Amino acid sequence: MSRGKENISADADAYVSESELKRYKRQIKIFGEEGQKRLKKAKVTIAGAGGLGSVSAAYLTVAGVGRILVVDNDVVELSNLNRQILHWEKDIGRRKTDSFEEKLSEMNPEVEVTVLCEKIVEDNVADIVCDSDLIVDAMDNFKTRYLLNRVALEKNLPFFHGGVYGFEGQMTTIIPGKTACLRCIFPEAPAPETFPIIGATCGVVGGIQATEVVKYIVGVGELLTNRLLVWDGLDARIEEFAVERNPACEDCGDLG
Amino acid sequence: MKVEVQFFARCREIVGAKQKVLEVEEGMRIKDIIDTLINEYPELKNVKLIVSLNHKYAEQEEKLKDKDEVAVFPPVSGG
Repeated sequence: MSRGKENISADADAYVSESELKRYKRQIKIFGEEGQKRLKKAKVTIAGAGGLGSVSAAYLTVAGVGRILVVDNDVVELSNLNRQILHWEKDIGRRKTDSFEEKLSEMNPEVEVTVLCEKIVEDNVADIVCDSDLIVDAMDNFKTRYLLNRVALEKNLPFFHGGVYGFEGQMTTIIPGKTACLRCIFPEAPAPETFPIIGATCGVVGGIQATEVVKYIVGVGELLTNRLLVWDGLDARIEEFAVERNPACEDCGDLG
Repeated sequence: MKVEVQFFARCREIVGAKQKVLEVEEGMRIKDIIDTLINEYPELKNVKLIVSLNHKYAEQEEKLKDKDEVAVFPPVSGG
């Protein structure tokens, strides 16, 4: 359950330049030029340009993921700035996607960053993710998370879930048809709320999501599948709960 | 017999503790302690609760044994 998807292969058209070899030298020590080629060839959709999205997008950009699509329809507000670290004071009033595009492109011009300022809804979700290799769930509501979960299952796209509340976070990695999906773990959505949060919680959770994505693309390590990781920042503990597919799951039960 | 119950996120705020040790009778199920907790902390009723038993996702119908560890947490939606 831990290996990268077969279709992210390092074929001949993925070329790592001299400057890229220098830029990524420290991580090429881990997974070789082959792994870097895989990253370069990958296309990732990051759903949500908020606290979690800021962290995962930044780390995936500096890691050299070839193409990154960021989707969000919000505008930056002052109250976002305690956690959404890619948005700065000067960005208040701007589209979050414009702010992301600017920061990510400056962080690493080798990465092709595209943005879409649209609300993710049933009618557009399939088109949005159609040529992605995977989806990072950095949303702030379960309604959209469920939409993404379902499209990830339909299109066989790995789905990297993270959620935060206060000093706590929850994370899991979903491989469609093989592991518990979001709906298997959380059959019902919590009521919408203005959640309390410190920025550093997004740092922990978004960092783990980005780690999972890199592992998946490169094909190293054991993925966070069939496990829900719960970060308890107040106690400085990570708890782990084993989860499994629910054969009666309304979203993935028919996947066999 | 005794079981330890851990609380996370909103559940922890409502209960006002990160864990509690509850006295339970032979044959009781997870559902019974959830009912007891809701009785004591009615606000828990408004939370979508996920439960685990000994670090494994569990159905509320599962029976409890002495020294079991139950965790109670809601999905967290923040991003």
